[in-house]
Amino acid sequence: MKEYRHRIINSLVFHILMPLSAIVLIAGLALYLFVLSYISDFAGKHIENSFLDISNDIYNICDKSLNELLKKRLISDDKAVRVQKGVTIGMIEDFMNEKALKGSIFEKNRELLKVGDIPAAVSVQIEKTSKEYTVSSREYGGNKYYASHIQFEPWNWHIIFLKDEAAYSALQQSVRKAYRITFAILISAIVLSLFILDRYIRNPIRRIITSLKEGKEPEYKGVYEFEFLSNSLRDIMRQRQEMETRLFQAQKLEAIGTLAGGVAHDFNNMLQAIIGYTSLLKMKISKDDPTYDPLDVIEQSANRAAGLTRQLLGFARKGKYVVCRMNINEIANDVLKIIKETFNRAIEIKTLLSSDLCLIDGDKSQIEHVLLNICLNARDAMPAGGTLYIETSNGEIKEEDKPYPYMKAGKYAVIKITDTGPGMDKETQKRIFEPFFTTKEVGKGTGMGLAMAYGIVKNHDGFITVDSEPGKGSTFTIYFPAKEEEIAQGVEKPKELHRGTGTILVVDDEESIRSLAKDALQGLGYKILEASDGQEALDLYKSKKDEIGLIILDLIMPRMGGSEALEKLKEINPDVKILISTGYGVREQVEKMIDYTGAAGVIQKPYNIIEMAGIIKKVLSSE
Amino acid sequence: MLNRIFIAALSIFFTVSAVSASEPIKIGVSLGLTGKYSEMSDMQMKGFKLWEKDVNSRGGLLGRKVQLIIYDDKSEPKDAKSLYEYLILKDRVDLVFGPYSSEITEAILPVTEEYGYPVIASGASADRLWQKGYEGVFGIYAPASRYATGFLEMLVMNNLNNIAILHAHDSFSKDIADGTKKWAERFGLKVVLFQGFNKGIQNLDNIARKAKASNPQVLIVCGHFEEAVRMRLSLKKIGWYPKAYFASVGPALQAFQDQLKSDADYVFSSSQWEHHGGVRPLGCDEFYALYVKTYNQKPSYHAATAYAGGQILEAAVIKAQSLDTVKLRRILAAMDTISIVGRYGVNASGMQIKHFNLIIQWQNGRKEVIWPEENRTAEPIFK
Repeated sequence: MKEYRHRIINSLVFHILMPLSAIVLIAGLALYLFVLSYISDFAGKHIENSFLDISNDIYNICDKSLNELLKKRLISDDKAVRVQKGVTIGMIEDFMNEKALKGSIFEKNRELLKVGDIPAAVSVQIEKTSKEYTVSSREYGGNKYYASHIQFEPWNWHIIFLKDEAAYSALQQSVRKAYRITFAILISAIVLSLFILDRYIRNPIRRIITSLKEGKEPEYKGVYEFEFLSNSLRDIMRQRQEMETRLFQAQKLEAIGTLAGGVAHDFNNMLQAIIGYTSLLKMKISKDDPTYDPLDVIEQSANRAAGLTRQLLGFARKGKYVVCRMNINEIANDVLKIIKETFNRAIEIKTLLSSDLCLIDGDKSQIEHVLLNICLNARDAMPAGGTLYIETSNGEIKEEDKPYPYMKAGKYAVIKITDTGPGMDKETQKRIFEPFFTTKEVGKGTGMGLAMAYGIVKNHDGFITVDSEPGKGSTFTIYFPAKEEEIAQGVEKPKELHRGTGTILVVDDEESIRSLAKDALQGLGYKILEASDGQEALDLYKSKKDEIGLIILDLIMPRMGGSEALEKLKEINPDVKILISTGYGVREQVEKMIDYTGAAGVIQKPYNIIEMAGIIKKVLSSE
Repeated sequence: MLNRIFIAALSIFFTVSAVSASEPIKIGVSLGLTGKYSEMSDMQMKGFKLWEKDVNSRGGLLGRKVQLIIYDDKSEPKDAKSLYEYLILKDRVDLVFGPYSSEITEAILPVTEEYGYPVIASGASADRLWQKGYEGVFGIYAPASRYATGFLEMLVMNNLNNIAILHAHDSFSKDIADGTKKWAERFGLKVVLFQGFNKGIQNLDNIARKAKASNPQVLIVCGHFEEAVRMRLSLKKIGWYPKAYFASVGPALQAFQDQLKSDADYVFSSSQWEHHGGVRPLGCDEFYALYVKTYNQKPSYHAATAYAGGQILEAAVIKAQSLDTVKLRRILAAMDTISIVGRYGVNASGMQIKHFNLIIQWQNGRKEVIWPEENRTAEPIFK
């Protein structure tokens, strides 16, 4: 009830109706005070004046008669006076008849004249209860009258006269008409105002609100202001819908990424064994051995599989291995070298690279992969030739005018790749970053290229957008967060197989991994100890800490994980050398671990024997 | 087709116009040419005819001749009523004049009111005619209630305070009697007898005796010609003549003197008009001369008021430039003009208020005007 009342009080109609009623009321009051009451007074005065005229006329009749007697020197002639008085009464009678008056003349309580049916008592009452020359209202015989009386002192005459109120009915009707018309005008004003209010304010608002309640876009046309409001609301609704679609798309990609990441992790472990053992077998035999070539094929295939897995991990943003500070122009130039040599000559390549481009932190090979992939797509989009533009520039996204709401404000190094191909429709643009989505013929595209690019860019805290229209080509714009400080170069890849001595403790819950590591490292001259989890590693290290020169520690293990084990190992020996082995991992987590625990480095699974041998050699040789 | 209709309509219009322009304006009236009002009605008829002749000699009204249709109502109200219906419905008269006498006028007014005809009451003066709410009756005579006012005034001045009033039971006579009584009291006179008698009664001896018994100084008889003559005869018969004998209507006619000879002397009466001693407005002398020439007799006020009725109607039609009865009513109600009998001007109910009557007395075989003083041709004689 309270809420209902609140709703009524706060309604538009109420807010307009109340002031409107107040205005009409004030206008009505003003009209009454300054116009109608004046008209009413005028009517009253008119009646008073009319009675004053009658009084004066009657008095003048008497006055004239008396003067005639005086002029004829008959004033003391009783007979002449009698006659003159009689004649005067007759004249007054005529006058009253002429003016449709009723009345009487009294001389010392004797009624000299009676015109009409007026009872003597009424005449006496009029004379006694009202002043001379004033008008009063009387009622007798069922009729209403205005009444007045005068006195003609020389003859001691009291003259009373009445007039039917109906005689003034026209005037009174005029006054009443004025009241009625005024009232009608005021009511009409209210009705008209309400009509205008309803038609031009309430109705548009109701239509807009109804659409909003039904979840439809408002489509009001009419009053400019409401049309503007309606259009604005419609635009906002469309933007919101678009944002929801994008969010949904982003969530979908995220889910696919998580799924792909999980699958890739398992694959990685399996490929670790395949590649590792293949490498091992190849080391044990000579190149002339008939099994060498098949082993080589196995290794190559497994490497390709590992590549695909890396791509998946890339999309899933689960891998960003070698981070260094770099200039995108360098990568762009590297890519340009490749495409200029390999692309169809019909494709003209134009570049516009900023000379003072901001540096970024990133995995060079991954970013190169992204650019190459986009360029390859551009090439495929222009089979008959066209122009490919590659531009780099510094960009800044400001909080108040972000191109897309999900973007973070800040400075960015921007690379823009534009083709003059056929372009894409909206639907294609929506799905272009989905894994395995391709518009190419079956067998010609994996559908992973742009999905991976998306994942890589995201993993670098950047954004990738596509701008395209059918027939107008496509532009891919990639934003990488700009960095200002220099950091150390990443680990350089070793080119030869390093051999060494000493005892290495390999900690991994996967039997095959441990075996592979053991076989490979023993072949390089190292003594290998094994532990299947953190606790076992800890126990072993306690007993053989002087012997163990390096620990290769997996992070995710049952009983005690790598992180905990690392902390405890450091407690035993703060200088213990530990390499973290990870198939996939959160880069920040690993970096943090290196920072806080003083781990010596990271080995990426699946192991590349040569790479691993180089890292081990480097760690063991450092003091 | 349309052209043909137009031409037809046009020809009908011109035919009608031609007919109405050539046709005379018909004005109807009934008079008691026989019966109790024959003396007065005869005078009235002659007056009307004289006006008809005059107006036509001036070119008629609105360019049309005037044709009077006069019927005899035998001095009977019922006959008069039927005659006015006949005049309006059968004769299709354009206008009407009022009949003679208040009694008969009262009878025909419902008819004229029904058909919206204005009536100039050229032979009636009873106050009651203007108290019934009729919208179309316009008086020429001073109202009956005022007939004796001038006479009463003279009574006061001559110390004759006791009066007996006798009246016939017709509306006109009663109105004179009531008015006279009212005015007598207004002047402070004493009405010692106020008595009515049946209209048409042949012998007024008894009522004369009753009047004598009340011992008045003055006898006033309210009636018409016949009553005036008979009362004079009864007074002679019973051997009583008061200080003054006033008969309301009758003595103004020459016939009164013709019938009574010397007995007509000293009788007072009222008159709406007299050539000698009257107000003599423009045209009055011409009328008198023409009347005498035409009829070889002197006109009474009845003839003059009939002629005046014609004059007033003529003035109204000229002002209206039409015979439209509504328009004519409006004009007659507001008009203020002068005819050969004096001023014409009515109050809201149509009663004459501008015209005043005269008081006459037969003296030595001559009809003398004795009131108003300013018009006097002789001093009044009280026996």
